[in-house]
Amino acid sequence: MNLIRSHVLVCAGTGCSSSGSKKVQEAMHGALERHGLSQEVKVVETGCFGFCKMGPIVMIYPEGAFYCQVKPEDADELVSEHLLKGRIVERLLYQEPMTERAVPLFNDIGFYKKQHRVALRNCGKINPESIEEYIAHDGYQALARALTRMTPAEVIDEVSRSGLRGRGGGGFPTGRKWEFARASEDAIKYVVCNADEGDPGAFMDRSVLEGDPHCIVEAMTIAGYAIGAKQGYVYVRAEYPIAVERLSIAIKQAREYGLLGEHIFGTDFSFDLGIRLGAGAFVCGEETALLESIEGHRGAPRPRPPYPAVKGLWGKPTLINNVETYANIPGILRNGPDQFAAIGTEKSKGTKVFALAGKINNTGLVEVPMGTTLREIVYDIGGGIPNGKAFKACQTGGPSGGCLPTELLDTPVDYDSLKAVGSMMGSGGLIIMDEDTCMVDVARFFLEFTQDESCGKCVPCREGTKRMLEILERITKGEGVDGDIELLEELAGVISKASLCGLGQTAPNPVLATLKFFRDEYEAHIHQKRCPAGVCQALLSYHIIEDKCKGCGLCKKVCPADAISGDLRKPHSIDKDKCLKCGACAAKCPFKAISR
Amino acid sequence: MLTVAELNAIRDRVRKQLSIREPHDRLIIGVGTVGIAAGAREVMAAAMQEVSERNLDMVVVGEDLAVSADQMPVVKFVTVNGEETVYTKVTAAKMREIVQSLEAQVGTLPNA
Repeated sequence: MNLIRSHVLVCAGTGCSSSGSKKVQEAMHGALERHGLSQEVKVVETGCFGFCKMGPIVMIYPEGAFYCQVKPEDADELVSEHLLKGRIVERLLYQEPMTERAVPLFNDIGFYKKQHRVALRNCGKINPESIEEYIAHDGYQALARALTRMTPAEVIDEVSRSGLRGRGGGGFPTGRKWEFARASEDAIKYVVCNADEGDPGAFMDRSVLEGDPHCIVEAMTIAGYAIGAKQGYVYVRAEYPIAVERLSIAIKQAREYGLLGEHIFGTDFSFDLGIRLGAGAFVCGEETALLESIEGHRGAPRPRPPYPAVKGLWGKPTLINNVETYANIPGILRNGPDQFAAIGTEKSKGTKVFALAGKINNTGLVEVPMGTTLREIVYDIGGGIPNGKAFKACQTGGPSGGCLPTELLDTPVDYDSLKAVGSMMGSGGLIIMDEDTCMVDVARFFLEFTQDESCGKCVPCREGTKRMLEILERITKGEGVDGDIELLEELAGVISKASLCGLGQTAPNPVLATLKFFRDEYEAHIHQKRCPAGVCQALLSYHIIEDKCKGCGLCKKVCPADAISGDLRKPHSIDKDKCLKCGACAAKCPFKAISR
Repeated sequence: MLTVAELNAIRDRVRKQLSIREPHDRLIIGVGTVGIAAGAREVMAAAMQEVSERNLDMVVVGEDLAVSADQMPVVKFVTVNGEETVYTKVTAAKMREIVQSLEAQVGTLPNA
């Protein structure tokens, strides 16, 4: 008998792998063997499902049953109950956080229901190490069409008509970028994929490379044909070992099948791809610094113009696009530009993938049509804020973006709307903050990141971010002085205008955005020496409210510094000289008698 | 060097293997404890063999179907549109006949 009646898909993305999915996979194989089902059930390793918080994730087809946080010891029950007796194992199903209702089927889960998967269409659905599974999902059909039935100009025309804009942050029209690269006359040109994903918490590019690497190979080959290049490079950070491995396998398979190399599909077009590993410097995500790094130099940006489309890698015309941008290309050529352009808003077409992180119930990757509101992402897909806390802000655009407050939750997510409210799309980091977040501390955190990652080539970025960080550190330590806010604004203006590359130009954004919407918090830190969110330790002062204290002694027991004294059933007190401000007492007190 | 025709042939052949992950007409075998005791595993084996040999465009699924013990083994055919047909006291031989009878309705998968 050769009929496989069920496929067990086990996520092997970085998130699920680090929470033990490999062992789950092995346990599933063992359990199937023990129950005599290994000939009729196939275990498949897939890329990321996007719902990393719930990993390791196991999906069983044909039912489409979605099991989460599966452990190796659950394998036996999944096999004996679901696969042998056809009973859904309820305890491993996903529970909606708002209703606590168990949801058996993938398509009914709120996290996925409102998503529209274009760039991530194959992630979690196919085995990324099988070129044939990719081909079965119409893989390489777009390349076949481009090479055998279209001219390079027609390819670029379709990309332009789709309205696709760069997903790496800038939002520059992709078709125009391709046109510029094509128009540059040179016998040698290059196609580069920017997979140097550096925003804290963002992992959409990694997921595409891990879950659907062939779509990048296909898209870059199409780009090579369109602009007249024979060689491409994927610049990916070495911290993504699974992505690098799967991409290497994909390139090798594509060569074996003749989809990379000489005379692809019997045409005169030849193209090959190489991988270049980055060491993880944030600045190497900037396109000219990335090119320097590929050439073997220190990653530092070049002045522009000339733009890479004119003078890029080794001085040759170079097309650089981000992973997610490329991931949209095969679909545009396969289904036509109109289908892509029908999704999204007037000026922002298609979908956008966001890495949803922070204080939110459902963390993970979400892909939504452009124009979806932040509220829909936070509440309908993200499942709201945990522990009954209130939403305070969300950071879009990573360290270069801005923080948007509750009043702007109904902002549609697209390039222009986000820019209009003082933020940016960026590469798709979306960090949610609850009422316990100090916005001054958030700005300090992001500036510390960009300051640390500044390459140091230009003075405004190297010195300016350092000075801004010093001011922010003073403010969070309670040493802020009158005029600090104005000085921050002045420095921000200069750094934005005078820095050489995007890293410096956007580095002050988190400060400007938090000042725009949360200026009162800065003022409270500086003038009242108070942190309204109770985060900045130097500004905290714990004391016991006598009326509320029952003298139970729990705080005394938990204090690591023996700073609390008092007799049983009598109000206690805190010795401020000894207090470490760790907050353990406040967290332990059952009577909310400790204020900060 | 791969030709476009060869690419399409791979697509059609592998798509057949992966079709289980797409919405399908389903032949559901009642494989709960009582169903298995009444011979549901043999019925399932017969169904899978017949579907495979005839290259039919449907999937065979095991589920714990709730019917009285004297009606077991039970088989339910559900179309993608949700129309259901229930067969009771199914034997392996009867299962083969049922699959044969469904052939015209579900159609066959494309051959590579």
